[in-house]
Amino acid sequence: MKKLLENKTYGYWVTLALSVLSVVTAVVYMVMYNGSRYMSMPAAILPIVGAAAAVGLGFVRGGGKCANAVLALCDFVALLFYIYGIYFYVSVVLVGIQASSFNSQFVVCTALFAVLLIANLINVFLKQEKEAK
Amino acid sequence: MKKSLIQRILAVILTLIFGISVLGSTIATENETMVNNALGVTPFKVEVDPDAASHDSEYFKSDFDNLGDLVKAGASMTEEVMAEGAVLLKNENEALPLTAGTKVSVFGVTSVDPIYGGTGSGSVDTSKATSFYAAFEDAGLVMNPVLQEQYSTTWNTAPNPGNWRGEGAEAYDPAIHYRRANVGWAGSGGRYIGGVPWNDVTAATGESFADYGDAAIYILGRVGGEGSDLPKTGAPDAYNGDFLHLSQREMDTLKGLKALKDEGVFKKVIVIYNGASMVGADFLKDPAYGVDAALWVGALGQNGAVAVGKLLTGEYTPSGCLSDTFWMDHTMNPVNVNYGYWIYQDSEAMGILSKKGNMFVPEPTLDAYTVYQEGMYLGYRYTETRYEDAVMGAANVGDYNYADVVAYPFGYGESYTQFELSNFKAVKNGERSYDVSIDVTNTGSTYSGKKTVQIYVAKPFGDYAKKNQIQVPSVELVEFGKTSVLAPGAKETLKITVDEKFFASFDAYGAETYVLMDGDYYLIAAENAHDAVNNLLAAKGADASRMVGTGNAALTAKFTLSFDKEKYAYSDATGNPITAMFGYGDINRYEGRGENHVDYYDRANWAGTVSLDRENGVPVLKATKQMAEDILKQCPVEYNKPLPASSGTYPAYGKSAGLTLVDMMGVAIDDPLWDTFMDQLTWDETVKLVANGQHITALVESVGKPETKDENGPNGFNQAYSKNTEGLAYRREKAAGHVDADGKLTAEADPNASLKTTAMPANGIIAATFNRDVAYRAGNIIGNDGIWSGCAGLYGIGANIHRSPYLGRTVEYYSECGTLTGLIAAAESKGIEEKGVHVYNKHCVINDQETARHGVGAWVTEQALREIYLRAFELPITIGGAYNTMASFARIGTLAGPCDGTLGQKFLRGECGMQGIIVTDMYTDMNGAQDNSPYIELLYGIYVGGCDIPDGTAQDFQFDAYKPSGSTGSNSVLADAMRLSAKRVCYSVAQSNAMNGISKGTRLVPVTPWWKTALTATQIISGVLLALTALWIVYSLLRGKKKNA
Repeated sequence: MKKLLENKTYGYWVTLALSVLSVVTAVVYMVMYNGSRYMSMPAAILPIVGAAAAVGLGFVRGGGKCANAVLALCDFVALLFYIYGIYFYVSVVLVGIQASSFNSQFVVCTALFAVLLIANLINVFLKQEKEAK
Repeated sequence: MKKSLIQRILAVILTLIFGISVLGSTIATENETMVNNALGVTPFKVEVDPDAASHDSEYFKSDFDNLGDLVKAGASMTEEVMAEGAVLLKNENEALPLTAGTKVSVFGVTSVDPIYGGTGSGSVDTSKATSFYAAFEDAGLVMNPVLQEQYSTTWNTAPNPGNWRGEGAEAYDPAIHYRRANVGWAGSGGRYIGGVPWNDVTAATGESFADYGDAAIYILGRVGGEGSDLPKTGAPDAYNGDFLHLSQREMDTLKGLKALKDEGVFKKVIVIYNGASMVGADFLKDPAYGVDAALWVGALGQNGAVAVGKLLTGEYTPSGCLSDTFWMDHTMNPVNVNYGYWIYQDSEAMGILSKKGNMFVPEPTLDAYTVYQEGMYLGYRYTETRYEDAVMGAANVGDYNYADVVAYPFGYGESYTQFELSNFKAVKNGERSYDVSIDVTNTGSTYSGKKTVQIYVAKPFGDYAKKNQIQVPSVELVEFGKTSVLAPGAKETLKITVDEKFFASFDAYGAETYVLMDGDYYLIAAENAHDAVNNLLAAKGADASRMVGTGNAALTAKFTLSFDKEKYAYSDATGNPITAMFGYGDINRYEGRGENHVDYYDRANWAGTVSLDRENGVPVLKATKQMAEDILKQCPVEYNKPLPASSGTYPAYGKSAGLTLVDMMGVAIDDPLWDTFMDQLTWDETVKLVANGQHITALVESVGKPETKDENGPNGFNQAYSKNTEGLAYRREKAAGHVDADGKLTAEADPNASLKTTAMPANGIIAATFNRDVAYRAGNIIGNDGIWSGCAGLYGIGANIHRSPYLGRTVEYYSECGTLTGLIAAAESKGIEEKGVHVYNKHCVINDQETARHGVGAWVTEQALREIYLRAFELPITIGGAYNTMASFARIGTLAGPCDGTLGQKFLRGECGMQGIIVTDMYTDMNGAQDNSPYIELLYGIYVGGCDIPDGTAQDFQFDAYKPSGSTGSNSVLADAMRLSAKRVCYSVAQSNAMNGISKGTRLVPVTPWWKTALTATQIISGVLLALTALWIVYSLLRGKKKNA
């Protein structure tokens, strides 16, 4: 274990932190939207898959290098599914006549997905492992 | 820059572009109709077979050879409507007309900011509208320039309304904000009357008054529209918060003008009321305000102001008659006690959920109710009936002083000249007609003018009525006629035919159909509703000293009829029996009423049933489990109340017969050929037809069914003539080579093509003309506008009832009287329909308030529902040939308009013979479920026959569960209903101007919209580049590994 971790840079720790945030986002999303018709299952599952893959890749020799990319890709695709699931609601609130104003579920989930997107975009440029000498 | 960094940047950017374009494309394709509409894209083109090219395919022809002539005719029509519809309320000492060259001072913020239309669907184009200033100047009045300058600049200040939701709105500051303003959606965030403090007016402009003192003209204004009702209380700058009371500034101004008149600065004070909603008019009767003349002009429309100028100067003589009662004070109108919404007691416990659906004014959609407690006694039917009973000394009349209640009665309108009505005759002609004739003589010596004669019926209020809870208003309008322009001394004999069916009353409890009750009926010629009662009282020999005004018995004719429950028990339009079927809307008859009971107004007991107590006078209703069941079943998916399965045979799908829609033009809807035609459609095409209706009906290219454009609104289309490529304006320009490669008009195009269509004055003004020919011709202009602008459907006209003056959308509807509404709307519908534009008369029915309109349950007696509210929709269909209706958001009892199969199938189609489409009101999301839940779901509406298409887009996947497998499926009843709805859409379009330009042999060829091409190209390019980048990265990694090795 020590050997596997000793070649990791701080970027990998950011990836791990983002993995946790991905899982939190997925759980929050599931809790808030479970049972509603704008719940998108891929949007809930992909961040968890991405997080698991990112963590798992850390234990594979050389795999840590692409952990950030895998996590970012999963989170991004999850975001697309999230948008697909909720766009109608958003469009109505923005331009329609009937709708409640943006509710807290929407605000919280959107904020979490947005943070993930931005953090992942930065993280993909961070080195995950030290260069082999 | 390092290669790996470049690779990462490329990968990130391309991944983002690819992902977003895939998502965007998916969403846009799902909502193709809306995107096309928003971008003005027509998704098909017409390819004309060479053999068919010579065929005349302009099935509905415009009356105008060129657009310029239509534009002029439209402007002139709006002027004519106002010239005949504006109502002269008072004219003491012949204050009006003014002579040309009169020097006047024009006051009021509305003088510079006229009200042309309403808000929301009643909004109209103001770009070519004529202002008061321009109109007055053209009429020859010389206006005080100092006042004009101040109102136009210094005082033309309003708070920033913020965005469309009212967010960011500037706080209203009465010290600096003088101009009228709405904040938020239709004023839901604040509605300001505005006005300049009188002291400021006199300080800044007082010295100029003497030079322009021939008359002071004070223009008052109130605006309303879709989205919210007018506040009874709480309006920020209104007197006691009452939006329809004069504000303090308005009272100060009027009193200030009176004082100046007393000082001799002004010779007279003239009030113009520019608003569709009736203000409390006690000030016009109060000497303290000193108003000499008053003119009601409603909302102006395009050129209404021109007519107002000419009315002031006598070029036109007023001949309009009020389409609503002008109350002295709205606290005297008992309907206002029950106007709004209340929540059922125990609603949560009984299972009626509390769900709010409106983001602007979050209001309940399931658990709100209102009681039309007045029943038949709405407007003049209340004021005049109680008056008659008071004069006749009937028991239980209670405290009622007519003079304190009514300022100007329904039908009232003065003229610059005088008319005499004489030689009244009414003779029964055949089984059910009464031929009425009356001489109208202009007895004045100076002015020519037109005169309306109104015919009212007075029915017997005898034992049968009392026993069966039939309410009988004192007088009810049944017909009217209007003379041509009569010169002084000239006489015209008006001949008017009255249909006896208006004598019948709906008997919900006894015969359960329309009945003629035994007893004396009077036909009465009158100048207004109050005049009619006075004539009736005179005929009955009432004590004249107890009357307000005088009556003339010679203008009445009595007919004694026997009881008959057969004669009007069958529909004239269809022959179907007319039976009591709206018991579910009357809380006293609804089977799930529990212990609820309401005492509706009862003529035999005014004192015991009418309340003016707004706090405690409202009936309290308790929720029941049956109510909850009936409300929630309208959302089968949302509340897990699945439609009952049915395993019958589905209709045939995809069975080719070589028919296209053009082959079906003129084919009767019950012709079996329609079945052959419809069998050609696939299931998916059927779903497409019934699931799409966002101001369109959907394209089905396989059967040559074009996409139609169906646009708002009740006061005319509000869009550019060249907006739609199907329109004559666009097609003409295209043929002339005035359309560029992007589809835009070139500089050589007729500038009229960029103008917007005609804006009609308020429908209340059209009704006030009491002239069906004017209404018909106004409709014809709208129809011509439809041909030129490419619209085959009009989301209008508005046939709801002015139940309360506080109704937000008064501008869109006609009157407090269902019969006047129906007769005028029938004429206007006829004019529109003749041009192949199908009306969607809205909102059927009882959408008589904006407050909580998305689902408020209205409890109303069947008699009132039929004789007032439904009559307004019935007559446009049976007389005017109206094809379609738009359903109401409101519920009859528990059933929302689009989910009310009794209303849709048994009444509109079964009784009225309506053959076209029922569209829902705006069908959009309330809770993200992509249908109208928690309020209604389209599937249920179609299933029960309450609607055919949404005014929106319902997601196709909702229909997937019912898709056929072979000739069967899980719900054959729904499949049959969907087939019927799709057929109605096709039938309606086949008889519309959407077929113009399509002849046999022509094909509708789908066109890929440019935005789709752009999105697809983005996906392909970004996808390919992304793949190449990925390959590059892999190649680099492998190469690096190799190097390291």
